[in-house]
Amino acid sequence: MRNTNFLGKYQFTESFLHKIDARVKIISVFIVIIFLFFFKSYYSYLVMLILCIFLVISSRVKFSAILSSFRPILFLLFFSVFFQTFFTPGKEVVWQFLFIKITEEGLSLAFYIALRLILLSFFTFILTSTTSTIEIAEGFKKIISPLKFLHFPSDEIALMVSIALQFVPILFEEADRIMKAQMSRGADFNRGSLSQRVKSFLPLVLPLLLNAFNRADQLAIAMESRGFVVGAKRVSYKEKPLKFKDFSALLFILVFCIFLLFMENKGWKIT
Amino acid sequence: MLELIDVSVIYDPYTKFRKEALTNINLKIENNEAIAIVGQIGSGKSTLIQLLNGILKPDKGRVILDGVDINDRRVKRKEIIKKIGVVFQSPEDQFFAETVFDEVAFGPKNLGFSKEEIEERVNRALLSMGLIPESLSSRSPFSLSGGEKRRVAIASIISINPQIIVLDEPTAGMDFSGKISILAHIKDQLHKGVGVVFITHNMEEAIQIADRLIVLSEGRIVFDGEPKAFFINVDFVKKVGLDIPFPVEFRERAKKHFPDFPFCRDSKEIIKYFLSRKKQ
Amino acid sequence: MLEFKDIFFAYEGEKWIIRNLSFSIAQGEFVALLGKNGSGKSTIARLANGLLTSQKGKIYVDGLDTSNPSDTFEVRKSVGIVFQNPDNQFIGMTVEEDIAFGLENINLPKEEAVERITEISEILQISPYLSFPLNLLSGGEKQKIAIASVLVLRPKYLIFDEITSLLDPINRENIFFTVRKICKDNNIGVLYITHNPEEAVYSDRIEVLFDGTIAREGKPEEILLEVEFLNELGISSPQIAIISNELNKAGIISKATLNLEDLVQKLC
Repeated sequence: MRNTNFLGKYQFTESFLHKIDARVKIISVFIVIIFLFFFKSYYSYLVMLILCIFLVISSRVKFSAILSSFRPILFLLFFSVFFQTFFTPGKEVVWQFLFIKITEEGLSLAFYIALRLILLSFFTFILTSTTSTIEIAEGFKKIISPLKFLHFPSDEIALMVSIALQFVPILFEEADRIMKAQMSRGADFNRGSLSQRVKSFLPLVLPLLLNAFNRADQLAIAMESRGFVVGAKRVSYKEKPLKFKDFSALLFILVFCIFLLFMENKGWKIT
Repeated sequence: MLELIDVSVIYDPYTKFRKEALTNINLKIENNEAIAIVGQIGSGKSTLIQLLNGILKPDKGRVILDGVDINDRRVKRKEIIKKIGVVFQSPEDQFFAETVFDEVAFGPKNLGFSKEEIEERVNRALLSMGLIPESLSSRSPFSLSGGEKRRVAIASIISINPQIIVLDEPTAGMDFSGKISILAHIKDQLHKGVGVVFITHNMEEAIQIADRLIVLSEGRIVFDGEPKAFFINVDFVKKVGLDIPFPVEFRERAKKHFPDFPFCRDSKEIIKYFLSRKKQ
Repeated sequence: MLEFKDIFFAYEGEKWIIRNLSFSIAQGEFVALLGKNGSGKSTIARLANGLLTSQKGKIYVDGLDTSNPSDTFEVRKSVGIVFQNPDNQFIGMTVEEDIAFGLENINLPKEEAVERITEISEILQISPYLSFPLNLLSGGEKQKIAIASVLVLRPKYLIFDEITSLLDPINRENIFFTVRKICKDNNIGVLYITHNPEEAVYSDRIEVLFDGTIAREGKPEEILLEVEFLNELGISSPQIAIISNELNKAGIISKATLNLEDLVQKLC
């Protein structure tokens, strides 16, 4: 059976990062993202980058996987840098050709945006490569579970997310099967004008949708048969208490970011 | 003639999940053969049939149809599809059209036939699967019974008029009458000169319909010949992880007491043997 | 006792799919339900645990009325169903967590849950797979997990809705005999729905379903040898029955049998 772990390509290596609770990792990424928007000094970014590299190395993930993780954001990166470089108004003009200007402010903003995007991408990658999809789903569920008290159906949503994730590889395979079947009847998904191509997707999308609905229906029946009632009280066996290493990791990230912000405030002078 | 030369298919070649789905497959299929492909789950059967019409390209080796390498970039896929029709498992899952007619016409339409030709082909295909065009053509394919759906799905490949029809477990999920119906119509196609290659888990089907049996085990062909020659060797059948068809099981038990018990393909032949013995 | 009494059922806006259906299953009995596709087999499965409610007639599970909403929870605990396609029964996590799903629904304390899961894993020999994600398993293994996840609720009655029809012959045999043994060992009343007559040979009793009603019921020897009768109802007979029957008719053997060894002996 082929293993399809599709969200960020979970790497089956072992490292202390793999062993940290998913909730801590998810929250840490959020903390980092928030703080990144406050950092203004080069030094802060440099230190963050060093932390990043340290974490990536200790996660023992293959270098090739790291490089390929940047592919999705390359376009966004290029676009943002381009946009900021050429379209930011400012006083210090560095280069000019007819009406196209590059200002110092523009360059500076472009640089920061690039840095933020790269760091963001790095940290998210660290999360997804050291945490399996199942763990992320579970972690996410536990994080939003306190919202239950506000009558937010967090358990149901978490269950839905979990089920949806489980069906993704199944539906991928199903889509593959259907595509091959239609291709065997001469269907061509690559030809023609835009509207022709869109129309040609009907023999792919409709059977897939029907298949998905059919499965969902059967699953609902199976769940009900095993005593599931929407909204009823359910016990959960998955309480994994947070350990010392989880707390220390979370604390570390928080303190680290606060420290950087503090140093920035002091202009990075240590007297 | 369809020929596979030294074909290998490898999944995920550069990762640690590398798996050789098929290794060194050499196979010649003439136009009017009845071939059953059998093998344990994971032996590579479904991978093999995807190679036959070019949906899957081999990682090593070549697939030659009537002298032409079907994976050559200059070859148009539609030319291959016209000659080799593949019916996948649970083919009714591919339904999307509003009417049975549109569903069965999908193939010929994609291949560029004229409106009159399409109509003729659809009607012929439906009739060949025991379906009446007048009553079914305008119905929704989703409103049909399980057996009818299966036959419509097969008809939608027959309407392409291929030289060889390849079917992946055509009777899976069908009940008794459904199975009999499908097998009878497959035999019909054989009589009309169409080559049939089918994958099955049902050894009785293999024995009854096929002249030639191909046995896959762990991605390799371990037997290619007369079904009788394979099933007579019960130990080998078990070694390859396959089921012993009932007539063969019967023979194994009976031949101790009846040394001249012949190789029988089905219950009828067993009954015939004992009836003829009685007459003696 | 799981009792169906004079059941009539139709889906909304359609004609009767179940008509005047009556039969019962005692705890410990292994009853096969044979019927061609479209005869109403799956509908019966869903009626048995209250997923569907009949328009006429009643279904009782040890005295509980399946149409009574306040009894639904108890009914679902007492009557388990295993369906045909394991992929559509899984709650997307690991094997262990999927098996635990039902136990979480009935709010069973954790220690007891662990006990039950360990027990059922040993019986079904799936202990090595407990922490595996479900999509890594083969078809036969998946079906075993689906069965485990229902067995773990300790139902008194089990409905198997064509659980082997998507499997290959070897897995089919494995799963069938495993299931039969477990149910016998635990005195579970079984309704085994199938269109494969070879499996029905090993049941205590066969109910033959045709056009929404029971056409005949009886022991396997009585039912499966009626080859023409079954054929008319769209059901096949096991090959041994076909051969036995014909040879009996021709006077070559004195009595038709469903046992191969027996048949060969009679022929000598």
